[in-house]
Amino acid sequence: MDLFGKTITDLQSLIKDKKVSPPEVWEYFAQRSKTLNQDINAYVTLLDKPNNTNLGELSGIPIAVKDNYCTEGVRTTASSKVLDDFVPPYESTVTSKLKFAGYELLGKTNMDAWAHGASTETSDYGLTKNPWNLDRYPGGSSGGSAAAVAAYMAPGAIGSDTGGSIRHPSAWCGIVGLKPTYGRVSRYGVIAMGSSFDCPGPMTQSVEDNAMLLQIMAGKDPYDATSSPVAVPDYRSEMKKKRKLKIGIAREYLKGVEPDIQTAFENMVEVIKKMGHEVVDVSLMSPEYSISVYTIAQRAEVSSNLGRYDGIRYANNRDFFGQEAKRRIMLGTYTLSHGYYDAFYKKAQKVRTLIKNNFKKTFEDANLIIGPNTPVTALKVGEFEKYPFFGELMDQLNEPASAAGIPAMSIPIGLDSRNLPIGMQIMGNYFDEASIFNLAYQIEQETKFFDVIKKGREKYK
Amino acid sequence: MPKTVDLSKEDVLHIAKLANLPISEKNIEKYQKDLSETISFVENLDELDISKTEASSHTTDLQNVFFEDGTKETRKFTQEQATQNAKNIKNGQFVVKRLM
Repeated sequence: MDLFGKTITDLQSLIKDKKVSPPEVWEYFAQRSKTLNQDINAYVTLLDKPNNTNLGELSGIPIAVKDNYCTEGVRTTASSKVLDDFVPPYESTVTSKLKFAGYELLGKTNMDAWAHGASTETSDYGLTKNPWNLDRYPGGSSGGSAAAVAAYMAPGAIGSDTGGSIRHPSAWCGIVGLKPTYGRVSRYGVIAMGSSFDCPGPMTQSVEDNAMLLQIMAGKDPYDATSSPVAVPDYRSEMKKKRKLKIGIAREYLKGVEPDIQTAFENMVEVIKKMGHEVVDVSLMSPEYSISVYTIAQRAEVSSNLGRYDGIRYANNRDFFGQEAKRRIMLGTYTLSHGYYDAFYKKAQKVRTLIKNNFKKTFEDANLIIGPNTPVTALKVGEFEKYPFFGELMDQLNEPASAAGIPAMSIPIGLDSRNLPIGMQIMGNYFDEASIFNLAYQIEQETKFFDVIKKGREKYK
Repeated sequence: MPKTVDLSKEDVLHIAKLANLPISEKNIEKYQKDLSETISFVENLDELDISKTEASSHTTDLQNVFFEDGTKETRKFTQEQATQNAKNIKNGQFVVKRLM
């Protein structure tokens, strides 16, 4: 049985119908991951063998998990040498839920160290390469997870998104990635970065796989007080409803975006109109304010979260932090220090209220908002240095949804003139992942995402 | 972008001390430049009127979340688990610097 390119949903049916056995599926992905990892470096750790005895919906399905999820007995580094030999004594809620559903942990994927970055180049375990072009960045910080799915080393992966870390690499590697609403998925056991932003989420080849994984991951968790008690709908049935949606476009998000991305986006807008959806212009606050809010609040939270690494109870001491982590800790320390709190942190949290209200008001007039999610397609390795402000501008279109805490997904909408994937972002109202899945699924049915996902994995057949 | 904030070498050393971060002499200038650049960038928030705006510490408006301490023991570590990742252990306990 040729498993190449099968979605998780396909694999579930094949296993159920006994066309393929779980050990065969494991062997297939373990082998591919091992071989392809030599060129792509998507994983920090690969597992030798399956080790889950639970039976469930995901039985026999190997999944790659970003290396910032604590996995009991499996080394977890967050791609930083500080945690080089850290073996968690407990399991994160997300991976516990996946484990309960029967999944097999295939490996822990590479990322920017501590999830600080949009390239994976701040990883202490080497850069991950973009499967579309090995001279280019996969994006980040969940770059290893995105690359693993794009090159079909894994049928699906788990990432985490603080300021675009799922959506950005999903766009640059040409896959489907969702940042859920803040609090929709528990953060318990995810190595904390920006605690008021961090959102665990699925990265997949299809919308249905994405909805299925979120269904398993979502829900209130007593161990994360910020997880939400809002009821979790049945995403797959919501996804398949025949809905005509009202979709907003914010022109503010098209400013400074590469022409190829603009063209692909405008083309997509036409497709959406032809499908019978209503497209309206909406006005959002300039993303530049979100960058500032994000930068202040996230660095402050980083300085606090990384304060626990004292080398006493676990992990190496503070000498092991890389430059980017040090820079962020110092900025956060500065903005929280005596006399500066009001001028930075408090001001940022006030503007955050404005951003939230701006989205809330906009969603009174539209079900969803669409826009590009990166200003450029995958950059060449080394090019990040040319961009000022540590690549934060790469995430300028992703950070507004992060600052507001609303859900947003990246889907592939075509290729640019350099044969690199282009992503589009679909933003939804609080806890309305269902509408995002609905539109994304309709687009997938209509366009097959222009075969981007298929073309991406094809050279790794 | 215009740079309006200029951190001095002493500022950087002071922040590093507060953050308990070892930084090498040769990197100080780079940190000075990078941090000043970022702090200058975020000054764009001054363009907005927030005089009547409440601060948000959280995005989904949850309130009063309680957890009954001591009711769940499933997360309790054994002493061995709790210390398994430490570099310096004596008699099953963490070794720390002398305080007094």
